[in-house]
Amino acid sequence: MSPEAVVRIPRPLYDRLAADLRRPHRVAFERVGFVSCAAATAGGATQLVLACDYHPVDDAHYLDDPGSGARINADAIRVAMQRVMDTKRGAFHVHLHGGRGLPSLSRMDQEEIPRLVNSLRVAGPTIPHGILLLSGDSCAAWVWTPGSASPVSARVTIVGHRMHLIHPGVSAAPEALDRFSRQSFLGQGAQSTIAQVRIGVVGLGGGGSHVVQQLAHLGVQRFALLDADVVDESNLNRMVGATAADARAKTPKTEVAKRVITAITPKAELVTHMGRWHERAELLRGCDVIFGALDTFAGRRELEVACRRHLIPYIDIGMDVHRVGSEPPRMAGQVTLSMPGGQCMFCLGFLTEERLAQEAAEYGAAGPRPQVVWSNGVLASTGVGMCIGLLTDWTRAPDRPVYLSYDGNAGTVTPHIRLKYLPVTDCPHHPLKEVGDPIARALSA
Amino acid sequence: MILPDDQVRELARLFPGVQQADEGGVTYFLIPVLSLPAGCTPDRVDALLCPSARDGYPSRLFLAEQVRSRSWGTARILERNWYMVSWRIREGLRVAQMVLAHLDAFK
Repeated sequence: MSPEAVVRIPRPLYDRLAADLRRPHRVAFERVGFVSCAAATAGGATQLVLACDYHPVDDAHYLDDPGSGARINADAIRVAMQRVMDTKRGAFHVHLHGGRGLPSLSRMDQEEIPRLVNSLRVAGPTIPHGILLLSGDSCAAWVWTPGSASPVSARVTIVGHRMHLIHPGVSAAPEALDRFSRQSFLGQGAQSTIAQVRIGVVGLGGGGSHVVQQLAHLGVQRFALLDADVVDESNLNRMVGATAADARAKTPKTEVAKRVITAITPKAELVTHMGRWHERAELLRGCDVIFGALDTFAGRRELEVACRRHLIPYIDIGMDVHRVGSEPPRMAGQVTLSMPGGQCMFCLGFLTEERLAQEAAEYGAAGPRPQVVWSNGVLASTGVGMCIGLLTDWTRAPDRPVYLSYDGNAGTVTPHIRLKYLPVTDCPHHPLKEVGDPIARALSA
Repeated sequence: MILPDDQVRELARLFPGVQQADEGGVTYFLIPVLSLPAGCTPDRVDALLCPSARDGYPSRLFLAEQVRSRSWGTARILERNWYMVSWRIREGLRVAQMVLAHLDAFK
């Protein structure tokens, strides 16, 4: 398998560095910075590079050289090398070219920047380093993995609202033109983005089965599907694609989801795991968006942490039915979007220590939760719509926290009341410094 | 979580190789090859201490392997899978004392 690299950059960080690189300089025509990046692997030979900080080159560290766009001095390189040693993070040289579309390195860039990257590799030989190059509306990246002689051209994803997937050389399948003509309002390039995106779905029962079916209809072709369960009789009231024969045969839910997808898109690229996602966490790291349709708050916390660590937007759906006295049952649910860099499910007040404690105290005693097909469908559809909005920006909705509340008795989905009182702050629970493989600090006596 | 220096030194003295890491706003202490009480199989295992409240417990100790057949739960923390038992220790202990008190669950 040939080595592959994926670079993910949170949109607020991307916007910050792009704005900085556009600042004029007294003597240089271009500006230069370094992006600190954590590393992780996504299974196979895929190297994940996760941007977590930006450091502009100090104004005083530019040389006055009319023959080049920007030339930085030895102090700038020394500072970058020292940062690599101090933080154990990779460093990516970043600068900006004008124009639009996928940028390419100039001849001078190709001659000089790799030498600089080699210095960074000396400072941190066990982590990836490289080059980021921005244009007016795109970004290219070259990644030197540890020990490699030459760089690989990376796929770049700007993670945020809107997601920007930059996969050089990939375009939408020709059959897209007819099949998806009724959804052309999603915008130019939308179908290509939908065809490129890899989506993970954890939990393929009532909620997750609707999600995969809808995504397949929309043209998503790359899936990671994970569920530990098999179909039984009690799933047939709500699980899309499951049959009485599946209940008799105890068919894995992953197999039902696979069957549903391939019936719509025979060439879909699927990876499945029948088991807990923890056993094959690497399958999820390569995803661009992850859906969780889980039964427990603890499960949601763990999946959100994994998504944050790898800069992956996480869409959570869930429902419950409560009885209070002699009142009719109350059906409620939620759809949340946990965007790396933005507010998490703890910030939104959906996850709380009290809820987790109560769930732990009831462990094994709660019994099966009530579930019905129509509410699963509403919540899954809402989540899928949110995902497509994220990928295509067809609504041009402003970037904001998403926490939708479902009232199954009234049949409404509305922004959760807590959003009104949510402070506008960075998430204190998942700082960008925690992305990538965990870094532990040794304690000394 | 910022641990007082004397507690850091004590922890490092009692558990050589101990490391600190943060995730999701929580500080954890990773103790490599922690020796378990006599009779446990395996008798040494990597352990992870969460010294702050989690899941309704004032602190928790997670082990990298299942040690004894009893009610076990699992958790994924710092990109590793861990096992835990339902064991509550008293509050107000020093961090090193917490580890020892959690090990009482395996005696």
